[in-house]
Amino acid sequence: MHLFKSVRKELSAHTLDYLILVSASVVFLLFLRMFRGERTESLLTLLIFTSFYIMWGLVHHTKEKTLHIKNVLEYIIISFVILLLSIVAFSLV
Amino acid sequence: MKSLSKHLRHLLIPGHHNNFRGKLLQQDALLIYLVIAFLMLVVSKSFSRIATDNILGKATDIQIEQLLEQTNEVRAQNGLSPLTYNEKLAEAAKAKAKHMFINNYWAHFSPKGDSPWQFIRRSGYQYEFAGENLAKNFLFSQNVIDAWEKSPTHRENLLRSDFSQVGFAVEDGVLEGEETTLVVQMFGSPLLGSADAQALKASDQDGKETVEISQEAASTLGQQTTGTVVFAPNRVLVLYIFIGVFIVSLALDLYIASRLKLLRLHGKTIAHLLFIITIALGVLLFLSQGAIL
Repeated sequence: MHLFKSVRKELSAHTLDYLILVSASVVFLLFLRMFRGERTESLLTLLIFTSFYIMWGLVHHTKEKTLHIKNVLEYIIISFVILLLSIVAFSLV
Repeated sequence: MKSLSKHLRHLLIPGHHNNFRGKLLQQDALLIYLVIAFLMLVVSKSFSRIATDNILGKATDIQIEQLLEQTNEVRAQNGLSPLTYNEKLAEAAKAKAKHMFINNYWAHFSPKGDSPWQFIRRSGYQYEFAGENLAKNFLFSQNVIDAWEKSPTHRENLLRSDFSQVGFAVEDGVLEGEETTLVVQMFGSPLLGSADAQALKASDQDGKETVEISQEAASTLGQQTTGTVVFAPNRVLVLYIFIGVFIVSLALDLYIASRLKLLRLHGKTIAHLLFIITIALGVLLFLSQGAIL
């Protein structure tokens, strides 16, 4: 109950931010579907989405006045870990 | 047991003991993940270089035996007789794959107009009916057959009762500037009176198991499955483990933090969860799949 309450609170407080993030996620999945089997295009799609996510984090926390080096690093590290492991798993380079 | 659960709590559950953030999500742990991911990239590049030098091919787990077995499983499910493996069709499939790499195209017909049937005829196989399925950049045999089965035109080839024989090639090379694994499946039914038709008739009369692969084909296959092949599924598994760990730790963090009403920097956990779930969907639905033609 607490969980749904706090998630709903967060989502309704930043509806536009999350709408943009969800839309970008859908576009990302559509592009991956379109480029299925094409390694270079899949890698580019992945790169663009992870870069977008880092930018999204920066903008979101700037608006919230909670931008801190620890936050920035967290977005960058999580994005890069996922990106690098995907590159390794699917031989994208 | 008690110390294990204490350790798990420390890793996953936010509380006083870990400064209200699961150890797995703390900055130092994240840095370790980054180092592991970077090392894996370096090691995998070295492996693929060694593999290329030894002509061992790319890191995929596509095996001709499995392709044949799964093709015949699909046919059996639809009440059709199994296809027998034919060396000449396999030779034609291999020639077609090499032709695509050399001439840099991904199509049934080459830019100069070479048809699949030319490769079959050149291999010495005289056919009454013939067909071709193509696939590229899949990691596992099962995914290739599944993708062909889902596509109406490829399914038609898999389930055509006119076909009695099949040959496969799994070849690695550079296509349109990127490293590619091609799978070529050539179907055929031998022309009445041809050597292949007689051999097929003889094997049917002997009542032998018709899905056997010859020694020569098996040894070729052996060459393809050594080296980096075992490495590919492991690398995918590592990615799945990392994604799983992230999702579990973030979900627990979100749950516990909301229960304890912890004050958090806004939205980080929800955003990370959204991002990683999206990546997981992309990986499962599309990145682990290849293309068919």
